[in-house]
Amino acid sequence: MKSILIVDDEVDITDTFSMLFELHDFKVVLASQGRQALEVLQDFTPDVILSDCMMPLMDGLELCTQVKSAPSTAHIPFILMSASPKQHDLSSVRYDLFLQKPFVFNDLLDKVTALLNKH
Amino acid sequence: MDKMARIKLMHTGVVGFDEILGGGLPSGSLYLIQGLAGSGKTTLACQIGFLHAKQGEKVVILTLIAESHVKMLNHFSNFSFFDESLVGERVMLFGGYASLAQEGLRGLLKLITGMLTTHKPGILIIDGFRSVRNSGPSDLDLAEFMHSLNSLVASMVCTTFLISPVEGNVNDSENTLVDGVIELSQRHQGMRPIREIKIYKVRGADHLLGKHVFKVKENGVVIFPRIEAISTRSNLAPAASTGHVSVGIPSWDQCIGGGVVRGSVTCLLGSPGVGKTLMGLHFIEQGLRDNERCLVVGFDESPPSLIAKAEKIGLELTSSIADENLEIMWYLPLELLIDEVASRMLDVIKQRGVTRLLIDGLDGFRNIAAHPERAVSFLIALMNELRVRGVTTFVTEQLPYFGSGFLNADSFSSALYDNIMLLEYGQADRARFRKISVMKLRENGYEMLDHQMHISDAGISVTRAGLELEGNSGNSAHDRLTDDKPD
Repeated sequence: MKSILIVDDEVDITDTFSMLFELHDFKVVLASQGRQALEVLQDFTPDVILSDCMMPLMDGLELCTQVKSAPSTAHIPFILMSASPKQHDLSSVRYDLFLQKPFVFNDLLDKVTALLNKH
Repeated sequence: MDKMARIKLMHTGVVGFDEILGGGLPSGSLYLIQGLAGSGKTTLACQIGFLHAKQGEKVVILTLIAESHVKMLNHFSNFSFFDESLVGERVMLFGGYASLAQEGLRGLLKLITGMLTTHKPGILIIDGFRSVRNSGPSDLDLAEFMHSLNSLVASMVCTTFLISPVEGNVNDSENTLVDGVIELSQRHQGMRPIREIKIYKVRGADHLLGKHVFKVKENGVVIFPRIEAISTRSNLAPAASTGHVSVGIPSWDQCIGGGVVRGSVTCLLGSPGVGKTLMGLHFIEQGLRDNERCLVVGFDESPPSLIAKAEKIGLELTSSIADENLEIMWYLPLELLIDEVASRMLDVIKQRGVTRLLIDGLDGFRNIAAHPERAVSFLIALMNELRVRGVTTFVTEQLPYFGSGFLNADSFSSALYDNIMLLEYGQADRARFRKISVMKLRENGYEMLDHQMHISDAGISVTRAGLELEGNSGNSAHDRLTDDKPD
C-alpha cells in the first residue's frame, strides 16, 4: 500500500483528497501547515508529499525546501499545488510537480501514480 | 483635542460606507459583519481588503468552515476591485479550521497570533466565524477568546473583520466583545429584493443609525446613505438668498417680481399636458444662456423626447449636452432606489458645479419608492440639500398632488417648496385655454391673479389676465382647496 502526506490548511481539501486517496488504497496522513508536516515526517516517511503553497506559519515552498534538504526525506517526490501559481517564485525550489488548483482528482491520481512509478 | 480626532479612522473605500460611519472605521479594532447567506458580507469585507491591498496594505483572509479559497477567488474575479496579481503577494488566504478542530480556541488564537506576527497585515478577515461557536466552547471560553482576540488585533493594529452568517443584535460574546457590529440583510418588497445595511454599533465612530440601502454592483458593494439621516446629522441651513433668477419666460418674470429666489425650490403643479415640462425647459435654457451648469432629472419623458420637445419651441439643448453644460439623467419609474437617485443627483451637482436643476415628474418617482413611508421625509431632506448647495430647482408635479386633496397637506409642502405655481386648464365661452397662477412665492410680491399661458412655436408666453375666468373645477387645486373641508 502506497502512502501520501497531504499538507493543506483548507480542511475541505484535506478531507476530500483524504477520502479519495483512501478509496484508491493509499494510506493518508494529513497536516494543516508546514511545521506540522515536518513534525509528522519525523516519525513517518510517505511515498509522496502533496502540499499547498500558501499556508500559515510555514508555506509549501519552505516545506519543500526543508524536505529536499534533509537526507532522510530528500528522495520523496514532492508535489506543490496552488490556486495562484504566478505569485510563487519556484525557481529555487526542488519540487517534482506543480499543479494549479482547481484540478480534477483523477488527473491528480494519474500524475501521482506516474510520479511513483518513475521513482 | 477633538475626541474623534484621537481615533485614527480607516477609510473603507466602499462608496457610501464612510459616510454612514462618520468618516471611516476606527483602525485596529474588531468588527463583526453579519448577515444571512447571500447578504454580501464576505463581498463587503474582501472589497475593503482588496482596496487596501491596492494601496500597499497587507491583508490576510483566514477561512474557517466557509467557501473554499478557489471558489472565493473565482467569485471575486467578477468584481472590478479584484486584482489577481495581489493574491499571494498582498492578499493571503489561509485555512484555520484545522487548528480550531485540533487544538480548539487556544490553537486558533495561536495560529492568528503567528499569522499577524509573520505577515503583519493591516487587515484580517476571518470568514466562517460561526465555526468558533459551533465548535462547542463554553460561554466563558468563548468570551475569553473574543477578549484575547480583541486585545491581540488592537496591539498589532490590525483592523479585523469577523464574518458570521447570523442576524440580530444578540447578547452573545461575538456581538458584545467586538468594537462594531454591522449587519447586511436582504428583504423583499413584493417581488423586489431590497438590500439593507445597518450599523448596530461602532465604538469611537459618529455613525448614522438605522438602515441604508445598498446594491452589489460590478465594483462591489455600493451603499446609498439615507438622505434624511445625512441631512439631520449635518443640520445645514441654506444660506441667505442672493437675489433672483429669471425663469426663462420674460412675461412670466414680470408677473412674479423678476423671477424666483436663487437657490429656491419651485413646484410646477398642473394637469397632464398643460405645459409643466416645457416651462421647466425654459428655466433650464435660461440657465444655459446665463452660463450656469444645468441638470435635468426625469422620470417621465426620455432624454430624446425632452430634447425634441425643447426643439419644437425653439430651445436648443443638444450643443449644451455636448459641451457638458447640461446633463439629462432619466430613470424609468420602476424598481428605483430613491437613495441611489438622490446620491447620483447630488454627486453630479457637486462634480459639475450645477446651479440649475429640473426634476421632471416627481409624482411618478414618489409612487415607486421602495419605502413609501419615507417619501415625505426623503423629499424634505433632498430639497434642503439642494437649497444648501444653492441649486435653483424646478420640480414638476402632476395633479392631484395633495394626497387627500385638502389643505392639511401644506404642512409638509411648506417645507418642500419655496414657490408653487399652478398650471391649469380654464374655459371661457366653450374655449379651453391654459392659465397659470402663483400659490406661493418666497421673498417676492406677486399678483393674486390667474394669468393666461400660451404655447407656440416660440415657446411659452404669459398674458396678464384682467378677466374673471371660469376654472375647470375637475382639475383645479384652488377649487378643491376652497371647497374641500377636512373631516
